[in-house]
Order: sequence, then structure tokens, then C-alpha cells
Amino acid sequence: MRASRRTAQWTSLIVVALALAAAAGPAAAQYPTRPVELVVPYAPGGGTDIMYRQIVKVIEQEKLVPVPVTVVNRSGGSGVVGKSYAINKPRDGYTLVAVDQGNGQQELLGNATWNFRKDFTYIARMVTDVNLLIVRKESPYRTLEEFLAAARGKGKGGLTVAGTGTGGVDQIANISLTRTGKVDLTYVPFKSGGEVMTNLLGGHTDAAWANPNECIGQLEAGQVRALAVAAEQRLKLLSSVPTMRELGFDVISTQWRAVGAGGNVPKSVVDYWVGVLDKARKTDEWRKGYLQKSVLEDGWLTGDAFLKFVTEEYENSKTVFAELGMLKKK
Amino acid sequence: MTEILQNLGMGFAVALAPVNLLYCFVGVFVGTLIGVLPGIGPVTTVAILLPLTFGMNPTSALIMLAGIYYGSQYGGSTTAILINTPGESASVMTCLDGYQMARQGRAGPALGMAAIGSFVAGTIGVVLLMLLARPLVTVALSFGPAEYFALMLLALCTLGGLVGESVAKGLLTGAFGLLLGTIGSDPMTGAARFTFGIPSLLDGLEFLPVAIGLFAVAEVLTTAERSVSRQIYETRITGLLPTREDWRACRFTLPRASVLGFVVGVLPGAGSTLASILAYLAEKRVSRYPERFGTGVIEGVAAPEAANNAASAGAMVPLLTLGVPGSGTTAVMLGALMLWGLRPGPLLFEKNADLVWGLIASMYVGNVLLLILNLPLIGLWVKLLRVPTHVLLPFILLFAFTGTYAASNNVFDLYVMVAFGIVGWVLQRYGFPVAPIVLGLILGPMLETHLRRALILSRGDWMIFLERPITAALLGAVLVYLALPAVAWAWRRAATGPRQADA
Repeated sequence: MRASRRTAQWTSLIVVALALAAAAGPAAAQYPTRPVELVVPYAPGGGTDIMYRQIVKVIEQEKLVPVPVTVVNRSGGSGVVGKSYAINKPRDGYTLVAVDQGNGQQELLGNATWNFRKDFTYIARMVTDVNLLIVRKESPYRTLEEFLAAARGKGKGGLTVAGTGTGGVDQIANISLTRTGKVDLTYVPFKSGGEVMTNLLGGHTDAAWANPNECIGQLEAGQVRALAVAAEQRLKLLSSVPTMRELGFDVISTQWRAVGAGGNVPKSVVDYWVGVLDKARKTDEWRKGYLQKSVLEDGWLTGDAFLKFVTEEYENSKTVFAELGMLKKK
Repeated sequence: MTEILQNLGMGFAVALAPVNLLYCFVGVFVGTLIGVLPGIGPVTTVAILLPLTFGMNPTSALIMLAGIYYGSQYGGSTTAILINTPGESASVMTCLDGYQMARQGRAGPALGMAAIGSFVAGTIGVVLLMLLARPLVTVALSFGPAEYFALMLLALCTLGGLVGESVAKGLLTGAFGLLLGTIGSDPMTGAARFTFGIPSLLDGLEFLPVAIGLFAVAEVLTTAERSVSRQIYETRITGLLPTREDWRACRFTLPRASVLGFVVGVLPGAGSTLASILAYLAEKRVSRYPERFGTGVIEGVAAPEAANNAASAGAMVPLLTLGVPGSGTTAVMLGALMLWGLRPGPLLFEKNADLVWGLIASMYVGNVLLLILNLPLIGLWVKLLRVPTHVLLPFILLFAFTGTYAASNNVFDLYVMVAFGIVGWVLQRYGFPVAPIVLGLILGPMLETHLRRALILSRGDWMIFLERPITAALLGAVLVYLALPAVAWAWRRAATGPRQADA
């Protein structure tokens, strides 16, 4: 009797456990059951948009996800419109969104009402794009030291450096170099990388910040020279260009593009996408067909390490914006 | 010269290969289609089609994408002429005279002139691209912020040409446009201006929703306010093609506007919209009857349409010679070249001569295809105007709404469009011209950005505008432009005596 009761207890326990497993297991295995929307908060044709279309292409080719995955462009407000849209959708993993530097920066500039930590989940950093300091062929400066020495010689205002955008990666790199180099460099913001390049080639500015893919053609043709790269290591493609750190200036300037979602999406969703994206980035299509050709670096970073990186960058931007008088958020 | 001909021969061998001919056709066909639909522009289309091209041969793919680009400039005029709705931002000026022509029963000649003018300009543009790419790019590079500022100032002065009957009213709406141009993030400091906490306003007012509101929606409201039974269009349609007089009127317009459009297109940071505006205003300036512009003169259609096509050929110059994009669409094409494994840059002409010359030759072919494609469509478009007003008006609104939403997937743009529809309706009612608003909105931000950039470069020294020869020359032209009417008036007054001049 006692034995049978114990059996009954055990049986019921097993049944409950099985039922739970049945409820949880297939549900986790089943995600996703309906189409997933990837929100790109910029107009088609930009770097983020192209990366997302690449992701979708690899996912489709390798059949990594059983449901349709589509890119939806919602542009406006330097990404604020599309990101706000995405984090206001149910946070169930069916709406993913492109996350980047703008998450922290737009909050600091007072343009977005979100909290960059609580309102976003940072799933996986896919690529990083480093910054080079370049001069044109006719420029008298051959090394970073020569360039900085000349800027010091000019006194207030120093030399002019072109970059893309205001309050973005280029301007922050410029401030960092000014600080560590103890030199005055006037930052001149332009709208696009194309405008930066024509103004440098035309000799309207003394130097420029540019990503490798924006200047590789001109570098190879000898129309511009790279003085230094603001990265942790030298680039494989441009191995003769020293890093700023090697030269004694602690300037790291990378732009990154990542996949994210609204805050607090289920962990199973995050794990699912980390798995998919990890497979995607290891394909030849991604590495050779996209990263290598676009001169981008694999920026793989996930989980807590990614969140730590984003937070550190946020704090750094905060200091810089405060210095520039652009900080709106206390 | 023989070298160019040799290269061109090689290019035609590439462009006329059946597969490339097919892709060229697909490109110009898609281009025409998206040009006709308001909202969806060439940048979006090229970006979305990009992943499809990865398996393709780069030459075929580039031929197709370029076809979309210049093809869209053909289609953009269609809705501008028929229903006062600019299909692309570069077709805004075409609305002014094109729509008036359609109302007078001359939609056929307007559409015909737009198509043939585009063909002529496209061809002139390719010839210039082939012959002058290298020397012109040097000129383009000498344009720094100070030069752009002077150019924009000159363009702003010509705004006087758009004011209509009352100078005061025109200047007022022009100033309103400039004011609207200050909305959004400050271009130098990033501070939000007049955004009222609305994120959608951070990048400033989107141009197309404002233009579609001011032109199309306002026109619908104005028409609906009057009797619905009244026809907007003269029902008797006179001819489908431009008449001999039309050709005579445009025989200098087309080459003039083509060259102007091409040169403006070469300048990165100017663009085809500015090219079409400048061409329209220049044409009005040299015309013997400037007062008739805006009432349906054929040159008012020919000039902007020729200029925006030539500009898209011009935008290829910095892309092919320097590897630097000259416009939004060429920026996407630059990314495409890289993904196909090519290195856009100064060496492209040498390393990938077959690609570059194949592309140039395909642009000749594409322009012929576009002409063949567009001319028979005119008859079809013109028939649309027989649709009764009470059916047509809702359809225009439908077009305006879907087009505006499709461009950004942002509902806010629809509010902007409706708001400017109402603004345009009120202004029209009280005789204020709306074109200066559009001009102010485009020129204002460029003028401000280049001025402040130039002053950053000179550390606040205004002499930068006098020391540089191109800038000084352009500013001299501004002075002449502004002083001329006053001098002429004083001259007349001196010659005839004060009393007669006042009369």
C-alpha cells in the first residue's frame, strides 16, 4: 500500500515534470513560430541597412531560421524614430532592432526618452569599423607626430580635421586625440563620408577621419595617406599603418553595428539569436563575401561583455558631450 | 580622342551583349516605374535590390542599377505634370508649368517634352561624362564650403524669379521656407531646434511630404472647394507630342539646361534637385517672356527635366574617377561595387576599363530604351485625365498618402503632408506663391551649413569669402544680380525723367 502510494507520488511527479517539459520544451524549440521583423531605423542604403540585408541573405541561404525574417526600414530622427517604434512593440522576440552608438548618444543629447540599458537588449555585436586619420597626397605631413607638431605650431585652432556628423564617433575620436596629444584640432562636421573625402582631396581641410572602406580606393591609388589607425591592433589590410596607441596616444575609435531588441526579451530568444548569428558570421558568404570586401572587422561580442562595452562607451560619450556643452541629460 | 573611341567601342561590345541589354532594360523599366510612383525613390530601390545582384556579373549588375537611377528621373515628371504630385524631389519644378499645361489640355506635349528632353539631356550628359570626367572632377574638388556657400547664395537670389505677382508675398513665403529649413538638429552643434520634443523632426522636415502637401494636396483641396462638376482639365486634348513651336522654344533650353544640370550634378553636395531648380530659374531669367513662367510654358518643363537627367550622369563623375559618391544613390552603388569585389577609386578606370566603359555605353543604350518605353505611354497617361474630377481627386490623395508613407514608413510624414496641404490651400487662396517655400526649405539648410563650415575653417575670418577666386566671382555675380534692377531703374529714371518712370 505504502509502496503503491509512493509509486503514485513518483508517477504524478514524473507526469508533472513531463507536462512542464512538454510545455516549456517545445515552446522554446518552437520559437520563432511567426515572421520576425528586423527594424532598421535608417533609410535603405546606409551601412546598417546593408549589414542587415546581408544577415537576412545568409539566414535564407543557410536556412538558419524556419520563419521569414524581413528588414523593415523606419527612418527619421537619427534612428530615434525606428528604435522607439521597436521598443514599444511587444518584447517577445518578434521585433528585433539595429542597435549602435546612437542608443547611448541620443539619450545623452536629450533626443530620446529611453534608457539605453533598461529599454534595450544587446544581443550580438556583429561588425566593427575602425577610424583612420588620413591626409591627402599633397599634404606635408608624413607621420602623426609631424601632423600634431604642426598643429601645435599653429596655436589656437590648430589644424582642421573633417569628419562625418556631430556628436558621433568621428567627433569623439577627434576630442580624444586633442586631449591625449595635448593639441588643438578643429573638427569640421560634414554630412556624409563622400563629402569628407572630396573636401580632403580638394585641400579644404588638413586631415580627415575615415573608415577603411571609405578611403581604401584612394589609399591604394596613393591619393591619400593614412597617418594612424585608432584601433587596438594594426589592420591586416593596412599593416604598415601604426596604431595611435603604438605612437603613444590612447585613442580607440570604432563604430559598431549590432542586433538588439527591446529590454528584457526572454533569455531563450536572446540565446536563439546568438546561436543563429554565430552560425551566420562563420559562413564564407559573411566573412569573405561581406566583411572582407567591405573592409570591416568581425566585432563578435555578446552577453554581459557586450553590455559592459556599451556602458563604458556611454560613460565616455557623456564626458565628451559635457566638455562640448552638448550634454542634455543630467 | 581615338583612345576614347576605342574604349567606347569596347564599351558598346559589353553593353550590347544580350544579357547586359536585358539588364539595362530591366533597370530602366524599374526606374521608370518607381519614378512614376511618388515616394519610393531610386536610393531605396537600389538598396533593396542590392542583395539580388550579388550572384550577378558586376558589369551587368552595375548597368542595371545605373538604369534604375537615371530611369527614375524620366518617370518622376509624369505625376508632376498630370496631377501636380512630384514623383521625385527633383521633379518639383516640373509641377509649376507641367501641371498648368495639363490643365490647358497640353499634357501630351508636356510629357513628350519631358521624355525627349530627358533623352537629349541624358545623352549630352553621357558625352560630357565621357569627355570631361577628369578635368571636371578637378573643378569639383576646388569647391569647398566657401564656394558652396556662394553658389547657394546665388541660387537664393534667383528666388526672386519665383515670387509671382507680388514681390512682398513671394519674399514672405520664401522666408517661411528658410525658417522651416532651420527645424531639426543644428548642423554644427547637434542642438535640437524647433523640434518640440518630436523625434521625427530631429533630421529636419522631410522634403517630399512638404512638397506633395503644398502641391498635390493643396490642389485637391482648392479644386474640391469649387464645384465638383467643374473639370480641372480642358477636355479637348491637343496633340500628344510637342508642336513645332514647342521645339523652337526649347532649342536652346535643352542644351543649356543639360550642361548646367551636368555641372551641378558633378558637385557632391549639390544634387539633381538643386540642378533642376537652377535650370528652371536660369531659363526664366534668359527668357523673353519670364512673366509667363508658371502659367504653362514648355520651357518650364524642358529645363528642369533636362537638368535632373544630366545631373544623374554628372553624379557618376566623382564615383567613377575618385571613388567618392556624388549623391545618395551613387553612395549605395559605391557600396555595391565593393560587395562585388571591386575597389572603387581613382584606379577603377584603369583596372576595370571594361566595366566603366561598358557602363558608359549602356547609358547611351538605356536612354534610347527609355525613350522607346516612355513615348507610347503618353497616350495612356493622357487618357487618365478624362477620368471625372470626383473620381480623380480621391485617387490623387490615395497616391499622395501611399507615396509619402512608403518613403519612410513613418506616420509623422503623413501629418506633415496634410498640414502642408492645408497651408498650401490657404496660401493659394490669398495669392501667395508656394514654390518659394520649397526653394527656401532646400537652400536654407545648405546655405547655413556651408556658411558655418567655411567660418569654422577660417576660424571666424570672413575674408575667406573674398580671398578665394571662385567664391569671390560667385559673390560678385550675386552683387550684380541684386544691383542690376536698381541700376536699370535709375537709368530709366535718368533717361525719361522722374515723372514718367513713376507712372
